[in-house]
Amino acid sequence: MTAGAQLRLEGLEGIRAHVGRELGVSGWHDVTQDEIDRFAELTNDHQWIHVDPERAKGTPFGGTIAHGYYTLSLAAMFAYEIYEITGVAFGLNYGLDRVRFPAPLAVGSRVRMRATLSEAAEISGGMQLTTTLTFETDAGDKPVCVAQALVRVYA
Amino acid sequence: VATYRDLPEGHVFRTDGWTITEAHVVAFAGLTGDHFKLHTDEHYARTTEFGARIVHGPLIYSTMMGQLYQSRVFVDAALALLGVDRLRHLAPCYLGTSVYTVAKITHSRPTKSGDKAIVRADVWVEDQDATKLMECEVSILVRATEDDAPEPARAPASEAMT
Repeated sequence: MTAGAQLRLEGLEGIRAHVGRELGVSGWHDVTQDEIDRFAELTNDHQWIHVDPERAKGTPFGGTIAHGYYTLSLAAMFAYEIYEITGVAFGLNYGLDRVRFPAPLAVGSRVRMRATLSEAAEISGGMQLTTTLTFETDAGDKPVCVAQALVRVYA
Repeated sequence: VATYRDLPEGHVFRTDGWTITEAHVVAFAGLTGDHFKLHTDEHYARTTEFGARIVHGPLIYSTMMGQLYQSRVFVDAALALLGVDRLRHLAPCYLGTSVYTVAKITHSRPTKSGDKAIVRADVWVEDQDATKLMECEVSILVRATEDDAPEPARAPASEAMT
């Protein structure tokens, strides 16, 4: 929760007031082969479609594509850019629902995230937020990933 | 070449371990831009209910996918990752924890057209003491027959549908 987010939700009241509304969209992030290679090293997932540009040329994608979990892993960075919640003690990632990858994310393209606050439910000591995250690419019209992220904040 | 028949319903497998170290957490923070202080500031983390830095949630499920990849069981048969459902973080994962991914196949059947198959698995990540840290359901599109999808046309894990 850095200063400088586009939108500030003030406390549980601020959260309630934004249910059903789009919170914002992040700036574009370059998807480079270097980042994908580093992600492969870090997670031990070296599938060639992600890390072998020569071999990937022969696929319908015409080149390497990002790991689906790479895209999801950018959610926190994008979320810090889009919104911050003030007046709560802390927030925790609780889980994900309905994660889908409608289109591939090409290495060399750009990705950004759109966040909508779909739901806010009272839980003991705080609130559970369901944000619908849509990851878009500048290389196509279909989203590359859609997911519902569950975040729990405690007052 | 594996098909859905190599992933029968009820089949359970457990991957080799992987110790998530400080190096992974620091590199993950740098790579993904997630510098949240609970992952990056030990002094701060000690003041929280966790008592120490914890591993980023996305690093846990990304490691899980890496472990499934290393196990080869899914990857040899897989054409595409269809989706992940009901993912929940169940317990904090501290730096230095050895994680193991366990998958239990719950569904393994051809699609209506019969040229592909869908495999679903309950997948969880547990630590060295068999404490579940995270669980989810993974759905993948797999080959129905061995001659399906010649290698160059093979779709990657990230090309998904639904």
